Amino acid sequence: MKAITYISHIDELESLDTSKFSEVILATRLFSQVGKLTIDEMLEIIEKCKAQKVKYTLEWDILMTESRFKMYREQFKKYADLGFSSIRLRDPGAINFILNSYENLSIDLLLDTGGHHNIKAIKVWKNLVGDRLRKIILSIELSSNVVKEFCQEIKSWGVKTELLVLGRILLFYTPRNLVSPLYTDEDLEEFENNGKYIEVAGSSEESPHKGFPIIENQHGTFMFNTKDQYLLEYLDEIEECGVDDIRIDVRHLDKESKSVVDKTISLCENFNKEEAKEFKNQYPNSTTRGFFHVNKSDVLFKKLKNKRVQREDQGFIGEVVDVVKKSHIAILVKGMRNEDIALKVGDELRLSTPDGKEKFTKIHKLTQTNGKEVQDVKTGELILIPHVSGISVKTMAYLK
Amino acid sequence: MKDAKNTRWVPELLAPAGSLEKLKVAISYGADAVYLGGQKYGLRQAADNFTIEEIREGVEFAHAHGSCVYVVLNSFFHDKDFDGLLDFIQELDAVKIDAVIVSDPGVINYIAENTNLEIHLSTQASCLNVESAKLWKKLGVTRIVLGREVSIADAKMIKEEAGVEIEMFVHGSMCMAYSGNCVISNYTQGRDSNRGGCAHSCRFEYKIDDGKKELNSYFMSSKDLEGIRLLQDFIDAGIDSLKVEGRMKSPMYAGTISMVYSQALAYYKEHGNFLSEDLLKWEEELTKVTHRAYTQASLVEEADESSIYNDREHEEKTYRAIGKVAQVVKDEFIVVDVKSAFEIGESLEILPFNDSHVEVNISHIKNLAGQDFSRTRPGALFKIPYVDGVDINNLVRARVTN
Repeated sequence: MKAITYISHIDELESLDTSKFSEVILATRLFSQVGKLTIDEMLEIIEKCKAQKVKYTLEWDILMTESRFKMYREQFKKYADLGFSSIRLRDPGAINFILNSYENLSIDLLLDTGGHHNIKAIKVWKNLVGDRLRKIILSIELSSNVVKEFCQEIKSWGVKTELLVLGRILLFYTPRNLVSPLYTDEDLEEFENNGKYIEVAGSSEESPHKGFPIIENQHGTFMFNTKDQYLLEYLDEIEECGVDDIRIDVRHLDKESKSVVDKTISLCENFNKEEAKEFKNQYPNSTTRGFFHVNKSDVLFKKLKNKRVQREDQGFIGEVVDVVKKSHIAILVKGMRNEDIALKVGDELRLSTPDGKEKFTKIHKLTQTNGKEVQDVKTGELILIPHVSGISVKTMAYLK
Repeated sequence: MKDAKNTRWVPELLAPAGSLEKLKVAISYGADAVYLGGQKYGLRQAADNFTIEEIREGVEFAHAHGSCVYVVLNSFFHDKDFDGLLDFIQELDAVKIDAVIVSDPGVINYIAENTNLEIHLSTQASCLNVESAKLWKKLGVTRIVLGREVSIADAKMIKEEAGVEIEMFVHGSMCMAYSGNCVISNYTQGRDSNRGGCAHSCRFEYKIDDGKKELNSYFMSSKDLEGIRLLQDFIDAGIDSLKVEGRMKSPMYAGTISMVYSQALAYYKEHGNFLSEDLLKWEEELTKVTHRAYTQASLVEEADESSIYNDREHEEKTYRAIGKVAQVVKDEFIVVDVKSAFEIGESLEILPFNDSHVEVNISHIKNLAGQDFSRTRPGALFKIPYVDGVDINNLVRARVTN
């Protein structure tokens, strides 16, 4: 298992022991969501990488509408031949463009967002990209057992895998400028000096989580989790899963970033769980292991609605739409399609209430809303039956 | 389109159907197609999603009215979610739905391999450009619901160069994030936003702190989309389908929006333009449903700060939704399924499917047992005086008076 990290300044190439990395990522302001490198800085780093025989990959992870994409395609053409070991792509348009226009470029697929929580989805991309596919960047929403299954399958295709073990978790991505409208021209001037790179923290009274890091730049607005992904305690498990590259993204830590990267590499080489746990206390930000051990983000779904007011198909007759105590229950008859008679005197009904009770009644009388008694009703009709206590509107009626 | 008497082409009007009731209302008010969710695999876990029998009934109703039904399977699947998918899509095939709307490439492939269902790409996949559309087309997608960030001009290019059907949002609430790229709920609420658990954290008020000062703002909240004035542009661009957002919204919403846009498109079919005095009327109708302030978002140019909705909710209402007609007994009475109470002396507006509204002055109110009431209550049925020209499922509303 090797590491991969971002190079944000040329000096980092000297300070990091690059032999420990499979390669380094170049994230530019131009092509990368929150990249800060200018093109000149990137070119300078590339020269040094070449001299040091360090492999480098270009991150092109922005999403692009057609108008913007045209501009980025033209820009990319200028830099395509700089010797990148691969291109890291997210937008399917960029994938198709690279596939069709640059037959010698390897592709790393950023499948860490979108519908890539099943191996079938990943295989679709593998089949599309074919031999040009070098690496798949896995979602951090996958639990370890799933990561393991995926890695085994992906390895059998001759493709590498990568997982974020340390870094910010992106929660929200829009092309719109959402922060700058809050500021005055004077404030914005200051931001301009920072290369149109605004960084603020957001908190809401409606959420217990405070201080979401928010960035606005030329690509839009990005909000990150309050806690960083921290999986250093589980490097042994990650290795056992078969992950090829672990990604370390500590660009937001500024001065502390070098020591964090060094410590991560040291833990990679000589893993010690206790040390990794202890290091978490020294890590500058709050941390989370996210969904690495279990992803239960669907368990609350059953509480989102009252299943009892959802109809079952079997024996369904209709829904109670009106109740007048000691008088009637009105049922809008909906069930028993394609039959002339949907409900008749003598039928027995099971009534399933929204609060979970079940009542049973035999129909002795069917009354239309104009007071006329009838022996049977068709689907689509509104019919009154004698009142049954404990029944409320939205009760479902089924033939017993 | 459904009306064969005029030959001018107009896009399909695609309305939300959160329930069988809303499906019938939307189609009755002119929607050419509806989209709905089954009890699994959609992005609205809290909605009254359809059983397979309800889908069957909905399809029969829609097809009888010349309309189509699309079923959303647009959640991002985990492996376990495939359990039961085969049965479900085969049932959908059997009840003759017109297409499925899917975002997950694994699901697209699975459906293509196992059924003959037509596949539309969900906006969740954030398809934004020509090359992306070409790639999705290779996977068997016949229609693409473009990301909301795409302008009509870009959409035209995508349609022409990729050679796929294009669907765009014309009306309703907006995700501020690239759809499918927001996981706030996953981490803050433990609810996967891309499997139906979105908690709408983007609608919260946030305190923004840059280290020097703090500002309060609803900075991630978008105004609602309204594209009524851009219908000519959609037609000129050849956009195949115009989609209205809002499966969780009321029958009043589904019906009113379907009515307004279908009337506008029908006007175009007859006259070849939208130079109608009715345009102001249509716009006014769109203000009568609950909504946030309207924006054209990114349809013409990139959305800017004017598209941010700096408020929690819009409570200013000129009309209130009374309910809908549950039964009409000719020359005797009309039964109203009441959602918002009204009383004797009020004037109600009933909206026929193909005509301007009918006014009813409430001279008496009776419950279904025939007892007199001076005021109704929500969640019950009441009889009001009969007026001509009213059908079951007509919407009923009342002007708000202060």
